[in-house]
Amino acid sequence: MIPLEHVIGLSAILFGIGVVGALTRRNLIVILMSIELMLNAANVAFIGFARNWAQMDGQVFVMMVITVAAAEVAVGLGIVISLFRNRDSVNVEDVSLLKW
Amino acid sequence: MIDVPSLDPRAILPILMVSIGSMVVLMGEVFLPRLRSASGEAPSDQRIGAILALISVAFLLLAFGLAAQSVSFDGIHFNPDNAMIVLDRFSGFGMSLVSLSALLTCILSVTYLAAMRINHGEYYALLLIATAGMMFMIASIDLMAVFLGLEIMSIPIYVLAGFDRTKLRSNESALKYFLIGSFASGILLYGMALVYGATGALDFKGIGTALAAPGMADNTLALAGLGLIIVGFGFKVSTVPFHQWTPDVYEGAPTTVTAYMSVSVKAAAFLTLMRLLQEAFGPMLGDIHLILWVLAALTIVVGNVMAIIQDNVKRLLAYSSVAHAGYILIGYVAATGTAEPELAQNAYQAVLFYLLSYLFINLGAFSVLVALARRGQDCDRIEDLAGLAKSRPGLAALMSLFMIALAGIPGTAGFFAKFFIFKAAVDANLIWLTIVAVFGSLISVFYYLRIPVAMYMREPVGEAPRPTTDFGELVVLAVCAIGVLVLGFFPNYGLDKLQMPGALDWAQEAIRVFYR
Repeated sequence: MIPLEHVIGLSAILFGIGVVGALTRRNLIVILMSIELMLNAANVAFIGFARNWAQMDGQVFVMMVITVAAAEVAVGLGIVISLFRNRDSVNVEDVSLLKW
Repeated sequence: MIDVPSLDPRAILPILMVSIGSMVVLMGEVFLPRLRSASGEAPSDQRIGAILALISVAFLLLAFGLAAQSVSFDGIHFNPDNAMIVLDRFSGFGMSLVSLSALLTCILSVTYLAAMRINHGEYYALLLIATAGMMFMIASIDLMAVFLGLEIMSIPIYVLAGFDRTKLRSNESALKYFLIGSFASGILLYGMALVYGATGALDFKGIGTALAAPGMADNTLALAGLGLIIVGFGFKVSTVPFHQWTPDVYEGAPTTVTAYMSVSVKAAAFLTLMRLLQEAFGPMLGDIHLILWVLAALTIVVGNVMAIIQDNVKRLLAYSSVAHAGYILIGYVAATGTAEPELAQNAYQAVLFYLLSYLFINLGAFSVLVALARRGQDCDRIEDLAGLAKSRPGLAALMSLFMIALAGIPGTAGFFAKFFIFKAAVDANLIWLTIVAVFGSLISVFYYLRIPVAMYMREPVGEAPRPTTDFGELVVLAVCAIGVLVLGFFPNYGLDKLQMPGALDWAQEAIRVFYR
């Protein structure tokens, strides 16, 4: 039996990696992946807590999140593609028409 | 044998109307172009757009009516055994607010979309889906429903922001909104996970009960979760320091979309946060009072100061909307900082009134920009507005009205909105915050008045503005101007014949849901 602390520790580390990645990386696809990592870190936490409370609610929430994340990624990649068509780049630093 | 839960579909009827509307619009988009008139002509793009807008307006009107009617409801749960959605006075108020703003946006968009050559029917479908998501979120009494509603709202708006997909600015706007928005959802979700871990419940009532247990009010896990949830909502309503996306997204998105999201997203997120704080985190309100105080003060100062240096009207309005988020937040600071339910009730009532007035004011201001847009080109720099009083006196007068309403000058809705908020703040002993807010308003007068000054005192430069205003735009402008003036002179004006309560009475009824 894995103790709850380990599960939550893992999820916190994943979440941290996700946040740092989303904030520091410059490639759009990598940022997208980092955001997915944040959502999945929350999923891990939900599953850990659901077992701790011996409930199904947390796991149902995870199902919802997975579905929503898929929709989000589809839209996100669509946006990245329409940008790529106009700009030929997936680097956020090239996307700086709007400032101040 | 599986137990079938007892469901009460009346609770989701307004949401259902909007969702069905979105599907009808999508179907219409497919089948309308195949219709042929008697002479064998296919309908023009513009006509299809107008028909789809009409369908959306019809469904939104239904939803608005159903939601507004719920002023007299005492709350119906969709599933009484395991409630996630509730239609009570509060959700009724919020739902009518967002459906009204979506309705006005639909009417406003017809000509603009054609002028920008982005006349695709999906626009209306996405608008309706986003509205359904907002209504879902406002009505939710469970973290799962909040998250789902939030995403149903956000994802279509990411697309709408990038709707002008051949323009780089629109792409950039969509991209920034998407990245920041999904980052914020991630943070919010993690906060929800922590709250679930601390309390073992996802429904607001369960969380509230768990937190009320002795020793739970300063549980680290729950506090961290609440903090992350506030950060997530902070991104959505654009409070400083989570505001950087706002000007870029507002500037790059098509103007009708900017109008819609500046009003609706803010209203939906603020209303959801209100129910969440009140029903789930009641025992912890004292702990977050200071955080909200700092957020509100920062938001007012930064929003107003940054607005001064803007040359683009959409950007200026974006920073002004940041500042207004700060004023609205004062209502939350006042409500969380006082032990007397009556004062908290007044503060929340002021917030609802503010959101309603802000709908008319901001939608009106953006409608003027929409009405000025030329073929394929937005008219959004301050110099584009120079000399407008000579060429388009009516529009110039309306724009001036909306600007002084944003500044909060008496006689307009903006005055009473600010007055009620400041009064609630003073009653709750937030003297310093009120001083900051009043100074912020003073600064704001300066930049809001730059626009009337440009319109009335400078000579026109460049191309002449569009000579006529279309019927739909006129309707929206008229509704917004009447709303601003009526709320400005009679903040509690109601229609007895239609059994419509005045705005203040309505807000009070809505808030009473939390204090029983």
